[in-house]
Amino acid sequence: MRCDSIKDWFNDYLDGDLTRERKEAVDNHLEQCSHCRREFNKLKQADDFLRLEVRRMFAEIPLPEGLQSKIDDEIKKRGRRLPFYKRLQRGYAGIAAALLIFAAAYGMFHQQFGGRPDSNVMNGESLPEATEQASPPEAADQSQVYQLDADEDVQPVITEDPVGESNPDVQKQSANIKKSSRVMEKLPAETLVGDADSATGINPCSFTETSLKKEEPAKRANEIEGAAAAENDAAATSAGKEIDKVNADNKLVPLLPSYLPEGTVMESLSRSENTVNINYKAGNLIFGIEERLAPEANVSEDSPAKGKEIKINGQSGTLLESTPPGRFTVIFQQDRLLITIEGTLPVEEILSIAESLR
Amino acid sequence: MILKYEPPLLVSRLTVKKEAFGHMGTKVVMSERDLVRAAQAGDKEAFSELTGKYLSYAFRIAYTVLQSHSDAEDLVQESFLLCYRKLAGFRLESSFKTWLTRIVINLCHDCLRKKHREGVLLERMADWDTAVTEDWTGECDRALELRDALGLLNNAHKTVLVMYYEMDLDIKTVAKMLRIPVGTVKSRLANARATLKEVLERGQENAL
Repeated sequence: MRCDSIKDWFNDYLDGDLTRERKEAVDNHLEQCSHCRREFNKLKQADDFLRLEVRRMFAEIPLPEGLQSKIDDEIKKRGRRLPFYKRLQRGYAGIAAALLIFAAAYGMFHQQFGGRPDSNVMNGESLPEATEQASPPEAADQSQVYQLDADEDVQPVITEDPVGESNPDVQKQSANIKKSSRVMEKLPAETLVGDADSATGINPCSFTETSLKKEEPAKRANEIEGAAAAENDAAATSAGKEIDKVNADNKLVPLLPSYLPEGTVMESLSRSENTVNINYKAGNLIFGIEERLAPEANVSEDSPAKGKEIKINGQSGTLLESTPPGRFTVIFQQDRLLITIEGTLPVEEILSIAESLR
Repeated sequence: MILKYEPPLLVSRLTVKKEAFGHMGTKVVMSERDLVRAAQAGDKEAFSELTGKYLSYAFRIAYTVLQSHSDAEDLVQESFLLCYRKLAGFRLESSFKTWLTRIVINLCHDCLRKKHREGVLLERMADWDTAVTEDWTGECDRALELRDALGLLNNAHKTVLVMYYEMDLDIKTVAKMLRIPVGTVKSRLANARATLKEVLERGQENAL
């Protein structure tokens, strides 16, 4: 390698913006070339000084007095949650429209069939009321009304609403939106990938766990959230919330890779309450991503697995190679997800995919 | 070097997860998450505690961007108020600090834009996007002190340095938050390094 091209990469190296191969090329070159090594060390030293100095400058910015009490007062005075109609304004248009259509359709149904919504029109058999409320979405047919919603930009997000369960009407509505979410999940992967740059930084490409049914009691949204939800307007809560308005603890919001090797095809996507599995194929290579909802806090620094310690986006992770070799596994945590990527891809590719999951 | 390991892949994977969960399950300390949750449930004291924890940080970021004490003070109040109002929708996908930072930076942008409209900050805005780095490098010929050199930076440039070095954000996140190209972030960092390197080299010469 020529010194000039290596030098061009010094800044990228310090930025942490070099591919593995290039980084290794720089490392190798620096071992051999004392001139470049000296240059690099100078730049590294400048970088270290810069970090120290910036941090010192930052820490020396004087703070105004009494700011804390001003803020506390301000919150006492003006710190109210937005009223529900304001919360409705931003992202709800699609959901509201879907509900409206549903309400209209329901009304028409009533008119047509003389108010017998509980009976099966096709064969005249009467369905028990419980079935309508508790039947899994697969059992119910997905009418076009729901699919309309899936075409909207706004992705329906349902909160698990303890209040809603006591209210059959609300629950019916929730169940319907739930269906639309299912429809969405069946769309190709591209539709799930949104613009990750939202003002509040909450990843809008997320589709939220919408299952209303039995969760393990331990995983259940805790009492505090129940109280919070109760405080909100019940209708607004169950009608679905704007993405950054959701009490979505204990909900799996999968991350999708923004990087995939060329020619990659998604083979399958499956999900359960707290796990998502996506399998891909790239030529004759295969790999899969599993994302699992991690409970509290961070994974322990000292990973119990015997493997190579690696850093993925600043988080420590583990890299394992199978015996016989040829299959790599990367395990790391990003946000609240414990992510495992495993496959026959070259290890660099797996790491690039891992880093793009954010 | 990648260590080889014996047990079949799937089994060891499961073990890793189990143990990881076990470890986390034993945590009992009142974490920041608990604080956030309590605040989400309407506990104003919990929110006040969060405020206290990140107040100085938020203020300094606002000050770095706006370079005005009174503006930064107003902005921080506004930020925490907004934070409180939006808290119910915060899903703990990022840390509270990151979330707060985004709110502060967004409000800073709004503030700069508004001032720009009012014509007050026309000048300040003017150098927000233009490359003043040449000037800076030029002036640095006269600045022997590291500190002076940094003092000569414009705010936009300083903000990049603060976000990268102080807040430990990677270049892509910095670019995203400041809504500038990644290349701009990189060139600002590279320029700052180059100048500091020069200052350091000159300092060594002078010392000899």
